[in-house]
Amino acid sequence: MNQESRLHRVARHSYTLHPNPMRLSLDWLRDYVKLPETGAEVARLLTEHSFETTVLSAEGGEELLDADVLPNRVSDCLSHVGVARELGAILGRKVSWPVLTLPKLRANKPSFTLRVANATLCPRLLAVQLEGVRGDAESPPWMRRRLQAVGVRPQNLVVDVTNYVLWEIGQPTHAFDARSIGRTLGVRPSRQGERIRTLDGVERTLPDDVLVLTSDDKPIDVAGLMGGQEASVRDDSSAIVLTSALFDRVAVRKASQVLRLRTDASDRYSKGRTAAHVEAGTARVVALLQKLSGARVTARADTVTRKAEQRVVRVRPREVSMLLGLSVPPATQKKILVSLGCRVAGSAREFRVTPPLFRTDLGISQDIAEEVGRVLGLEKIPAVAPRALLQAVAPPDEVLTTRALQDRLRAAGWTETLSYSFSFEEETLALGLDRVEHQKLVNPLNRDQIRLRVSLLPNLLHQACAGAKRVPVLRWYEIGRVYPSAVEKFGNWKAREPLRASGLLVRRGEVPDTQRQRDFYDTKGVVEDLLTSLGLSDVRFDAFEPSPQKSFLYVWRTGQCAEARVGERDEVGVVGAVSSEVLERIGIRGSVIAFDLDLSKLLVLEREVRTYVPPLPYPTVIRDLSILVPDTVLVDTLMEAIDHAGAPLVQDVDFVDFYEGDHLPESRRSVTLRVTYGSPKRTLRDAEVNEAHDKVCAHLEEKFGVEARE
Amino acid sequence: MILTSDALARLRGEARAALDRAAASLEALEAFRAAYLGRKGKIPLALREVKALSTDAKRELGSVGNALRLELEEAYAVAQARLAGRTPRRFDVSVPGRRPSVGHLHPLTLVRRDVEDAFLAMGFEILDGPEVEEPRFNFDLLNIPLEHPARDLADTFWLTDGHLLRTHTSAAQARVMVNRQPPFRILVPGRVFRHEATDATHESTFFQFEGLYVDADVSLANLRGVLQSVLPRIVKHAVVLRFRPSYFPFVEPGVEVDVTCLNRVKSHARCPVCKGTGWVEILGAGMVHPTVLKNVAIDPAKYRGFAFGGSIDRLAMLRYRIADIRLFWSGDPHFLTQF
Repeated sequence: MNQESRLHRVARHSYTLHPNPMRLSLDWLRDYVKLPETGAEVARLLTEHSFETTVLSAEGGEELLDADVLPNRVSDCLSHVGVARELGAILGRKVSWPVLTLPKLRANKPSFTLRVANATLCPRLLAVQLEGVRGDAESPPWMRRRLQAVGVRPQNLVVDVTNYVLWEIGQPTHAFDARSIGRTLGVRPSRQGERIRTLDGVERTLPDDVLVLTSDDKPIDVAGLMGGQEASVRDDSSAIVLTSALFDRVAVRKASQVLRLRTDASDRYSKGRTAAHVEAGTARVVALLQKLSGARVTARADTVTRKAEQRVVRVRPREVSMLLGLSVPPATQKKILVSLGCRVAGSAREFRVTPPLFRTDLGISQDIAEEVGRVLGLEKIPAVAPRALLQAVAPPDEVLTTRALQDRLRAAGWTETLSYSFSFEEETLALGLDRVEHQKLVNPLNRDQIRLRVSLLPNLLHQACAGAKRVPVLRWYEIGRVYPSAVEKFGNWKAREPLRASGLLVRRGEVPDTQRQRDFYDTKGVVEDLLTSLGLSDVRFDAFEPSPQKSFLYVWRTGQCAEARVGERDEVGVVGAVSSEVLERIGIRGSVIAFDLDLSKLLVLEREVRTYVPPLPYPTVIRDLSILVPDTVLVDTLMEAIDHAGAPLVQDVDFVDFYEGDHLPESRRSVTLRVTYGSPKRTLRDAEVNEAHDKVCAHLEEKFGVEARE
Repeated sequence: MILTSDALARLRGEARAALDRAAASLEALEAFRAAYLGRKGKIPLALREVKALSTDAKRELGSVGNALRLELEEAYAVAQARLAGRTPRRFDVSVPGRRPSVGHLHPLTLVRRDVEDAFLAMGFEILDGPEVEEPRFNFDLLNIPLEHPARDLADTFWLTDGHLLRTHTSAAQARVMVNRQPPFRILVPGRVFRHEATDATHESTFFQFEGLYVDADVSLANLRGVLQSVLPRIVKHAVVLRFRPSYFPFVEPGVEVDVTCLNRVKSHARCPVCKGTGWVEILGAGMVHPTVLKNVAIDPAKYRGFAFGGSIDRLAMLRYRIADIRLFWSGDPHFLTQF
């Protein structure tokens, strides 16, 4: 398949739609209603007024349409007469119907009695005995042609007529050789282990609870799916028992799934038939057999004798117009409803609409409004701006913050990725996260759908593993929810699905320590920038040691990660090198620096309102400070100390450079800091600056044992 | 003297030789300029003679003469610059500029932002709900009955504790309605999940957006009004809308919303995007089913609403002509860095 046609097929929008394909012969439809010349025009009419329909190729002179019948129209439109009725209403033309009621019979009772075990599973069973049939007779060429056109293989007259009626009226019926029906013809759930050879020649062993038709309690037919071979019409059959029934659609659907068997009949039963279909189907088969072979009805039995009660829908035409936003005169509405087969009584103020029995979907006035709207043409509905209060809306904080972070990260050279809400199994195990409780799926399709993610890192690492093979350096991140296994199930959902922002800087190959260190500071710098941009002040990074409860996590490389805190207590995330054990296990050759932030927590922290600081009106003096520092002393401690010791003249302390190397004394680092001196009141004299700077140096020397470098 | 091409060729040889000799000093160069390129120099004089020629000869010799003048002027400038001690080094302007190393936003983020912004501008609030959802919000309140096929294991991811991964953003719509009284207009963009094997057109995870507008006198015409104004902004294309009948359990009437094909070709007869129909499906929509309103304690006699939903992934696929939906979730660096 080429790329473009794939594009067309993609999950089209939000809602689940289960396709109900119906193949239609144009020639067949023309039996009932006068149609436009071309199939394309008929397809367009159906698409715009009923359901999506396309033209199938018109090879062999037989023009075919392929309709995707909507789920609420399967009761009436999985049939040629149903679609003809649609077209009649759309075109405003008369539809000529076959007779769909059984003639009053002076029929005798048949030699068998009907026995339905559970009327909920089989609300109606109708059986008619016909004599004067010839089992070896062929159906006429026009019927064979039509059956072939819709994809059915012609067999003999009796079978062909039942198939023809299935496609014409939408009701499956089944004919048995009368000789194979004993004293009772029954419907009951199967018992485990019962066997039946179906018409496709397959010997099937039935589980419990598949509906079957029985003769003297022996299964002869899988209800709604397929008949059995033994009781089928044979060449020498002269009398048949024709059955037509209504089965519970869920029961048929389940049986179809269990037996892995789908037929034209099960497609219709599993989508719902009506009691009216039962009689219509029988009536039509009988009429055709009478006409084509001179068969006559000799007996009849039916589990339903009362006429079905008809539903009446009360509809105010004015409300129909208001719902559509289009004024449709009551007379027009009435005409449309009548053309669809409804009986309409009542006044122009309120209609009492009796839908035809096949239309199970028409139950409330909104349903009626839909009929009026679509038959009239939905394109007639105008575009009208609603009247609404003018109100300012702003996106919620998490949307604004997410956008701000995305933009900031993009500017810093980081690329956004997205990953599944499931947690990739291999990476989850590698990180030791399997020791954390996860929410688990009942029906995963593969091992990477077993659990919902509790961290974004496994999936990012999974993608990095493949990505690093393609490009040497990756900087990417994801902002998304995680799904910790919550104690409180019904509280605030936002607390149950916290938002996180996590990223990886992946460098492929042999990465020297100095490069890894640079990557760490680059990543940490990005995190610092993100936190500052959110207006968080008092951000600190402390060396991260996993708490004893979390020591099973193998994520971080010892001594190369930091925990970010805002204020004294709020831990908001971690930045650090991913441990080499993890990288080895998941097969990444190189170095990975990660950050992992709790965005939900960041969102609730107090943010500083940015205010203006007047620039110093007098020049400032900059002094660089190059010092040798014992490696137990942290740089941010030094910077704080300078700020303190040099007050009030120190305006700013910046980090410039950092060096660890062979030609430095044992356990010493070289650090360069830049101190800015100034005063808001006057220009500082050199002597003053020197004095302050000396004081700072002395303080550092005394307190931390640092030495100045030349 | 009549100007000929030979004469011009001779003049060129003479001038180049003179320039070579003059290249030693600035004074000599100036003398060269006056003799050849100055107002009364030999080149301008020769060019003046061109005017007297026949049309054909004028065309030919005119261009040769002009080329010669430009050549000498440039050679003179180079010689002068060299003497002045500053060689005018040329930039190779075709070398790619050094770009800042910025990253990229995910295509679904880009489209999602467009969707959000378009509806924000219409006064829709942006909301979301949980992705791990209760069946009642995902199904029951939305008029999706127990035996509906969508509730099968085959369509929905279920969790061991009886929750599910929401199959549509409509679940959040139900939540919002439970907690509010009309009027309201909301937009819910978010992740949804389908229990499907993945292929080029099916994913277990994708993004949807769901809109809901409930007020006293809302009609299908208002739905069209809102979409007509918003959709062109989202698809970045002037489009015409088409409603077609459709069916979803939580709306009645239900419609499918098509827009005119987004592929910018003159004839759509063979267009692969719309398959020759001229239309592409964008949304499912309809008037909120009265049963749904009742379920969430909104009086359907007083209020009506419209709802619509679409797939952000699909919009992104249409916009960027992406043929494989799995790319969105692949983390493929060659894919992500294109946006």
